[in-house]
Amino acid sequence: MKVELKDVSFKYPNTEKGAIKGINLSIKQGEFVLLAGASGCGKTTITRLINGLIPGFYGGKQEGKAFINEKEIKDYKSFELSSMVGCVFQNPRTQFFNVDTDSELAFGLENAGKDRETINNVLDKVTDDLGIWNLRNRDIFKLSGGEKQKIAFASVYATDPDIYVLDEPSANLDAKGVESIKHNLEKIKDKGKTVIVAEHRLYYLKDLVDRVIIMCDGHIDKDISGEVFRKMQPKELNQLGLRTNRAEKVENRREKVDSKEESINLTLKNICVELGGKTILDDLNLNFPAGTITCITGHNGVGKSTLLRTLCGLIKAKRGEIIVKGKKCGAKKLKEKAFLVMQDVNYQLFADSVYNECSLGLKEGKGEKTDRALESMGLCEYKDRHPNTLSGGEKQRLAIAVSLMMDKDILLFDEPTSGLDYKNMILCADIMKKMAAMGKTVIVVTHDEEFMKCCCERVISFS
Amino acid sequence: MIHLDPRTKIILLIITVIFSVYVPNGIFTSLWIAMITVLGVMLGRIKKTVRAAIIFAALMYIAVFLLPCLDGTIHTSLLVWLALMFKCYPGFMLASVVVGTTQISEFMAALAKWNIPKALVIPLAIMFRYFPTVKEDWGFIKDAMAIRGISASPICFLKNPGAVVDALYTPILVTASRAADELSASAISRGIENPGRRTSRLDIRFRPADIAWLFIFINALVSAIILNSGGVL
Repeated sequence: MKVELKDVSFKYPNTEKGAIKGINLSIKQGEFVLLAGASGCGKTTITRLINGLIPGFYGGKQEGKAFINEKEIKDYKSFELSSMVGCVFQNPRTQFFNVDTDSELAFGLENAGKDRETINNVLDKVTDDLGIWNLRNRDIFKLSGGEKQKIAFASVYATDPDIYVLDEPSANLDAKGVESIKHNLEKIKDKGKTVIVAEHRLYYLKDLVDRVIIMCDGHIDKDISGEVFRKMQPKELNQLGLRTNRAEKVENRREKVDSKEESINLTLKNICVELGGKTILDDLNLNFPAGTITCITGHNGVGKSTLLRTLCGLIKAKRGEIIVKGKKCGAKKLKEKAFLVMQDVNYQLFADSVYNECSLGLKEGKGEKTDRALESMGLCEYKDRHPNTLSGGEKQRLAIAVSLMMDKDILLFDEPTSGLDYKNMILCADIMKKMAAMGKTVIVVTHDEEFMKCCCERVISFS
Repeated sequence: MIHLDPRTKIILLIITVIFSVYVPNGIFTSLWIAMITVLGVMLGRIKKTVRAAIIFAALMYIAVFLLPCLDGTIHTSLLVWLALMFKCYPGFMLASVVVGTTQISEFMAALAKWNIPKALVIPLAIMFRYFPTVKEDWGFIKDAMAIRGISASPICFLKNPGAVVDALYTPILVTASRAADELSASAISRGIENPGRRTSRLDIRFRPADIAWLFIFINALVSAIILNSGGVL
């Protein structure tokens, strides 16, 4: 099946972001195409044109024509298109219609009206093909992000479309999850399927791509072959605003930290944490000096998030001591000292403007302090905007500004770079360095090795 | 363990609602709860069903033995509250059993068999899907509030209702509207709008167990109404 865009322009209603201008693109059956570019460059828009969600679902104004098999995409009904184009989206939490995995895998087939026997046979075959017997008949809400993404992929694979469209499928995954997505992509590439992936993280696609389309401000900047892409140096890519095409390996940098007593801000002594009767952290001893960025890495489920939640007082440790600046702190004290920037920062912002978000709950002297906090995060120009209209990176910086307002000394980050493009990742790293320079203790839970490489002084690997 | 057709469960729920409307609180309510308990356990939802039954027994104990010892405002308000609880309890308890033991796909397939239009089935199915999402979101929101020094406790709410309300509803609105968008986009791209009849990977039809339970519930309802109007109890 041939995908063709002829001089397509599109603009979303009410926003300039993600608009595309005069795109010409032709993708052959069996081609593996990577769409790369900074956030808002229009790569997601192109995936939505191909899966028909534009303009059908998102509205907006389209000029020019998009075709699959010489027929205009907008002339297909959504369910006709669904048998040809399979989609995997960015957020593993919101692409499920069902609560259990088996129903989810069968969802597309049931919609298409296949009979019961066929559905069950296909389900077993898919499970064999993708090696996911351990995920059958499970509660989806109890799966990890990586497992959810596997199910999302498998449920598309079950309907056997000729074209796969993936929009940042790796955004929320750890190294293992990324590896399994890569493995699945290899499988469909071998079957001769057309694959179109929009992504920020490029390294895992390096060996698979036939063609890379680099977008910039809504138009195609470069259209290069996989060969050329594989030979590109990370530096060249960075100059184009893209992330590296190499798998970075960060060695365990657990060097002796300045052992002077006064530089240690935070100490954990024999910390044990239990959740629901299960021991998550067992006898943990760690030191965190002030003015240092420490990255904590390791696979899903080893207790990294639990550690963060313990450090900011959301969970009480069962045993052991947490010592801040020489003083033992309970959960309540920790809440005053530490601030967690959550992976989904949307939960943390609730005022009606950026300015009010910072000054929330502050009684006196808020004017000057707020200005200073916003300035250091580069958010002054957005003062009167609603937090919800900011981009992902900006929302994150707003949350950090809030922590500055609250005079927190310990800053905790949970996967701060998921879904960030190169520019925002660097910006995020710079801000952490700035925080460290201010004498704060910065602790980052992350899977992003490229990010660790550019800002992290110390890496602790959990297992 | 048995398995019932989702349609049977819906009918049993309707019968229970009729029971609550027409039969006053009393011994029949207890019997009805006993019946739901047996059903819940047989459907495989053991722990939660038994717990609900124990809570009901405790409330019944209060109503029968403790209430007569009280007087004044406490007596009246407790009486009204308990009366309301007993009215709603059978319906809520059975509803929780039904939701807990029915898969969304099963539910959709069953409604499709009744030829209920998709415009009605899909929103209902999304509602089912949404409950656990809210539970998950609530955990995150509580964390986010605690980090900002706002707690969801009643005392904090009385001190600063504005902040608590803002901290609750803004994230819920923002995340829910985004989740709804993404969920719909994903469902559309997987062909939910197909006008043809939806099939199911499960074999959904009325079996002897369905007929038995419908028979039990209908009989119980009719006897309760007759005995009650006859003034036997």
